Amino acid sequence: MPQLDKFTYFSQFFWLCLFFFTFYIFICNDGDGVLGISRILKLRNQLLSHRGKTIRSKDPNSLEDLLRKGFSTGVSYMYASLFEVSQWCKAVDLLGKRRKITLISCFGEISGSRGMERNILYNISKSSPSNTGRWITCRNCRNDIMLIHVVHGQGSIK
Amino acid sequence: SPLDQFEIVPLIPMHIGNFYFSFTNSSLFMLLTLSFFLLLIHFVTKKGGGNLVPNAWQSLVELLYDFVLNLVKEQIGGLSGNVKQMFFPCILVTFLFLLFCNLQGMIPYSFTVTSHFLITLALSFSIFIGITIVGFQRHGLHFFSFLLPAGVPLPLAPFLVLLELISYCFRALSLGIRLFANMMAGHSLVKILSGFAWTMLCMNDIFYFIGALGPLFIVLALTGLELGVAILQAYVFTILICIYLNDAINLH
Repeated sequence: MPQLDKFTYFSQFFWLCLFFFTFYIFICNDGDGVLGISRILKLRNQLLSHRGKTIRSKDPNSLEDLLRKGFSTGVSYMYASLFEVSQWCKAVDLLGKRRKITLISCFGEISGSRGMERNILYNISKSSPSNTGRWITCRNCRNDIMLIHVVHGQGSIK
Repeated sequence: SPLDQFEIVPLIPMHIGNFYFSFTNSSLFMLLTLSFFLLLIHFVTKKGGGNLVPNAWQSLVELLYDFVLNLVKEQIGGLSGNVKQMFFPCILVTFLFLLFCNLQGMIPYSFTVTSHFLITLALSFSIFIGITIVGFQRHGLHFFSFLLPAGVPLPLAPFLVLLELISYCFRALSLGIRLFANMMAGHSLVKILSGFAWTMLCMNDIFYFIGALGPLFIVLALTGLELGVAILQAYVFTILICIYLNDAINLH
């Protein structure tokens, strides 16, 4: 049995150690080897998970989010225009000329804007009945607007 | 003789005093196998890890990597991921070394490095000592409680400690001997059967010639089996290392 030949033992052990550690160092060093493989695997996993996210964003929930965002921007545009109208009323009133006509026109503007606002809020509440949070914020917004109108009305009466 | 294939022949004789470390055919085939795999790794991962979409060779290397990584993750329990991966390079290198040395032994006229028990025992004993050191490092002297299972009646304790100590030390021996015996037995068997077929073919007789087909087919089947054994034994060696490491870390 050639395995029992004692003369070869040291030689086998010596070369085994040498080659095994060289192998270890070459595989586990910086740059390439195991680190390179793990790096590319991590990158691939990350890219794949991102692709999964974009696929998921096409489902109806995110569409509803998008709709909500669009509605809120629309509503804020409406409020901005209302605010500008009332600003204009105030400016005309402060001029002091042709008082009666401006007063009437101001009241007309205000009542018109109120009607508009009521319509908008009605539409919003109709379009997203499930969204109670939005409704409450709209109510708050409405109160703010009413406050502005009240202040404005007092200014014009005086 | 079927054992001739395991003969170690010095190719470049070298010795200092009584230490013979000649470059033998065993070392030559070890060098060839490892440099083949290192070349493969080098070409696969040359630009910072290779391509994002792998070709066949890169998927092979990634398959091996993932296989060993899953083995380490599943077998070693009770540690966080980072601590587990501390042991991963060592286990990966052992697995790759054994796998490629075993597979290279199946090439005809080559030398099987792992069919010498010195190589397998050197590997298993070094790993065994390393695992014991890890156990002592982690638990200090409490590691000796490994030798006494919980809930044993006190009069039995001395015998059990002795038994557990013996079984613990024989783990290393069995790990090395298992690999060596599998490799050597398989190669000897293939050699015997192919010698048998060759002798029958050379008899210049039509009956023997037809009869030689029997051993020939058996050799063909055994070659397939040996390829399976080569992969399986590398796997078994690696999974046993993981299990022993798990025992040393978690103290059953």
